[in-house]
Amino acid sequence: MSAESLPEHLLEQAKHLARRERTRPRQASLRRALSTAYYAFFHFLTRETVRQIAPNLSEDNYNRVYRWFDHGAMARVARAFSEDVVRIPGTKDVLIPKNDPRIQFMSLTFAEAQELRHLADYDPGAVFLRADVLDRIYRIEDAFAVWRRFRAVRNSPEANAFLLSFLLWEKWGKRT
Amino acid sequence: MNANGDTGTDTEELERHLQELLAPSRLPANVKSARYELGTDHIGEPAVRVFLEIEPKFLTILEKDKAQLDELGKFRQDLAFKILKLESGYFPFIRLAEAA
Repeated sequence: MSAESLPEHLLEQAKHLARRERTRPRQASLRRALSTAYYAFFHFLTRETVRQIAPNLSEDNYNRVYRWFDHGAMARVARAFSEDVVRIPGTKDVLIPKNDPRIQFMSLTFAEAQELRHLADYDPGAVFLRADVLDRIYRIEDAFAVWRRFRAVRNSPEANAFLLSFLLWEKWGKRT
Repeated sequence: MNANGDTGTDTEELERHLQELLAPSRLPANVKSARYELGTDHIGEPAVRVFLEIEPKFLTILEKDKAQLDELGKFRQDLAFKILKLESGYFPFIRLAEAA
């Protein structure tokens, strides 16, 4: 696919931006670092979802599916999958009775990254610290590593539900 | 209100838990103080924003010392999961801030 390594390259760029100034970092550099790190994670999860759900798509159709992903919907899924028990939206029904802590870690990290990206891109009053920005980038790097290292996590029922939810979150409650 | 629109933990109870979790005795040595704000996040869902206030000289150290940054990151993550376990519906966003 055309942008196969995009997530990894974006994360590398985020690190570069966070360390751009030797001493006093510019807020512009830290904001762009946060935004870039979020997009690294967004593209990572999008790529992994399409790989798992539809591994044999043509490149054209892969690119079409890629555009179905919505940031707000993904934030809602990430909030839900940060919990020990994942519930079907709008109901008390349980989707995942005991979530995998590694999926919870990835979800929490993604939800936080998206909130920070929003602040970084749209809130002129927000102030960012380099230590905080670097920690976010390291967390996202850890999330990539967890996913790559643990086949059992990638192939777990929790991971399948997590990835499928990015596209079909509201559908879980459908009964007829 | 939780994800189902129920009140698992009401706001008053959530604040009581937050005050316990953020009590000075429970903070890591290099966190001078902590404060929180209740509100909504960028998608309009309930959110609690926690700010861990760090001395400027320690911030400079954290920028260069990944081990210490990881330690603080672990505290932040544990705190986030403790807040999530309260099932209040308020999602935790925990940031570092420079202490005055």
